[in-house]
Amino acid sequence: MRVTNNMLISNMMRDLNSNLRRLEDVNKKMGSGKKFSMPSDDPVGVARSLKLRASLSEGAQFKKNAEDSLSWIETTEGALMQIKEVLQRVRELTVKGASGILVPEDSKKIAEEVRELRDHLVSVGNSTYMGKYIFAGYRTDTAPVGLDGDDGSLKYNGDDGGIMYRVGTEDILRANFTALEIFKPEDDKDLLKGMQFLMDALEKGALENDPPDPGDGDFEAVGNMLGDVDIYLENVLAKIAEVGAKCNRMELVVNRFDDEKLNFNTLLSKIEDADIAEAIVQLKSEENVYMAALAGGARIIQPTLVDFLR
Amino acid sequence: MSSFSGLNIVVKGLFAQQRALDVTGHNIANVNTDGYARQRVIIETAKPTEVLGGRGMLGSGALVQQIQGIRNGFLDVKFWGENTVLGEWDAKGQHLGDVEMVFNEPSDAGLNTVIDRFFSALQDLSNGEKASDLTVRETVRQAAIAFTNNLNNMAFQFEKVQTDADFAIETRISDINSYARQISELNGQIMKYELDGSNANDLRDKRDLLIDKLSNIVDVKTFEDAEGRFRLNVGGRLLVNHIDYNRLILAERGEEYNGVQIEKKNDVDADGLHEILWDNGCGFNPKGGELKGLLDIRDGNGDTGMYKGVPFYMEQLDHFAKEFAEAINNIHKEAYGLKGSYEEEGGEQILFFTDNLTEASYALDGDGKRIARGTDITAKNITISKEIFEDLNNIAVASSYDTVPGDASKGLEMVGLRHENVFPTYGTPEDFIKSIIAALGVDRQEAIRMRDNQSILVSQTDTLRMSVSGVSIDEEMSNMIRFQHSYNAAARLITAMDEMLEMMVNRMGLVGR
Repeated sequence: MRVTNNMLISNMMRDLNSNLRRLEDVNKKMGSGKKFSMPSDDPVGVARSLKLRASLSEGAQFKKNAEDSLSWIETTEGALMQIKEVLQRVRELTVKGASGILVPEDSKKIAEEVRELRDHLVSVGNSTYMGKYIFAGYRTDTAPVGLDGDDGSLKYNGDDGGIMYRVGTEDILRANFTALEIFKPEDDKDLLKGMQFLMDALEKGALENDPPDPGDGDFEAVGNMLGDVDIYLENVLAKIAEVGAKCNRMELVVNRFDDEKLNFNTLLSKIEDADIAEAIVQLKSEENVYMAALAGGARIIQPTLVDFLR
Repeated sequence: MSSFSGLNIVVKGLFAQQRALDVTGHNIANVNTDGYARQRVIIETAKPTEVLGGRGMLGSGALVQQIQGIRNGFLDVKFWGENTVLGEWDAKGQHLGDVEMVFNEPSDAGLNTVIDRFFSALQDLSNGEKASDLTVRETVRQAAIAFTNNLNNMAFQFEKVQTDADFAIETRISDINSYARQISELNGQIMKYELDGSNANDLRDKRDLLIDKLSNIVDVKTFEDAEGRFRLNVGGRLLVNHIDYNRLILAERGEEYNGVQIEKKNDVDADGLHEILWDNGCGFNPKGGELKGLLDIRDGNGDTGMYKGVPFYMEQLDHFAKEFAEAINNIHKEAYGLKGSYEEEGGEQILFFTDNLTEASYALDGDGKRIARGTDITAKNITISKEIFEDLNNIAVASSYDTVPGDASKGLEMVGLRHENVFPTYGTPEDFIKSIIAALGVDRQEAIRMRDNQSILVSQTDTLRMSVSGVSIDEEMSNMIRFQHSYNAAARLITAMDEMLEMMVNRMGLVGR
């Protein structure tokens, strides 16, 4: 083939150009630390990275939800513990009140204490978290627990709605109990009404006998209450256990997403991040090729016959 | 035989060598001229004279028979063919790059990110106890606005990519027209100069150079008949017919041209795009070249046999905006916000996303029931609804009026769309975006690969052409020496003859003087 000077020059320019382009690619990798910056650099890689990024951010959201639910659950747990303590005291008082050896003053005192405890229960039943009533179902803006004027029974102002947290793609947690579930475990068992009854029974013993005679209270009625108190207590204990279990589960969820984040980040880095060591080696080798091409080109394009003619 | 005939022979030789040196000089002068093909002097022996008495023929020196341009027509045709393909893929690669820029992925500001933020905000709101929280509601509204703004902006950018391609097409069309005029003029000149049988080498070089350039823009086909009339086809139709040429014109789509309504190609197209027509009103369809690439990018909607150009991505984005908005709306309009009871009126019927910010989401029917209006949402017009824009309380996540404010089950349902097959053939919203971007990546990768391969082919063909037609300094230098020596030798011969004649004229016959 006939070779002309311009052929040499344009071939050299083209080769230098493609060398430079490769050099730039490697340089871009080094500078950004990423294997690709455009979908066309690596369509599959970009698609996978998009998917992973979405999973990562969703995971972070789920974790945040789980953490939020934990605060709610912990508030619930605190309230339930107080209710438990109240019920234990009520049980003690019931046992005491049923003993039949009380003087009316004592009965009255016990009745007083039961009233105090009842009021406390009502206020615990109206506990809030960040200004939202936690035992009201969906009606987080309404105090759920009130007393019926006639018989002191529970007047529930909430509904049976569940406060839900999505803590996984298919995992939705119900984080709340309603006051109904806690104060009225069965249809005819109403804690607040029961306490009113207890007070009435104790006070009756104190009022009807003058001078008071030990053993005149409605001891039998008080004694009968004991079984009910146990039912309430068991119910609350069961709820506390459930809350504890939920708490554990949410902690696990949080941990799981922490692990997942680590795994996903590792995977993302594998897909997106350039191997710097490899890139440097590549850069060096491209640089050498480029230098060699420059040196060779400089020799080739210079001499022509003109240089040797006198 | 005359005594002076020898001088004649030598003078012919001198002239011939001089011509050859001139051509060498022309070659050297044009060593860097684009499209120049080296020229060579064809020297042949002059008509010999018969020596009387059958003693043979006596040569009468040398004559310049012609000055030939060294060209290989086959390589030109091959170059034009490859260059056309290169032009097409180069244009596609470049403009798909613009489309990639619009998608702006992978990044922290792409569509995927704003969708993610929207879902996250909605998710926050759907954590039961936060449903009535106005700050969380505000985050949802802001995330939704960011999402719609992003879509609006992308739609706007796509139109810009499309109008940019249209502008490039306009420029190319005027290039073609100008090339056509120049070629037809050259045709006339070449015809004139070659009437006497000589070669108009430099003019032909110029014409071929114009065709080189034209071949990058559009597919070309050339014919030259025995009389030297030259015809040039582009896009399968006659552009230059010897000294006449046809013009290409641009007619704005959506307007009338010569009493004929020119329709928009795709519904999504930007306004004011141009249709290319021949000046006789026929349609123009390039089969290759930059123009084909630009047209594919500008008009390709990805239907069977069509390239996936900007309209394809516009349609996909519109489809995305519409389906996504409808999926959210279908849940949202059945849900309840924080205020007001509209049970008797058939629910709140407030849309989340609509096509304009001024129209109410619903109308009342004869029975006083609210009916959500139909929408025609595109990426360009998507916005949050008037109601949500005006009042945060109208973001509805509760399943009934009674369950406000703690109920966020509808909100959860909306968030659940993230994992639902909102787009039957693609899957979830994020899958949809991911698929489109992956498809775009593959298409651009193909365009870049084709361009790279093709540019190798083009440069190989060009190298072959240069090998045949290019000026080699070494060759010209040695030719120069060759012709110089021949010239010197001829000149020396004249001196010799001069001495002979001197002898004859001045020295002879002096005896007896």
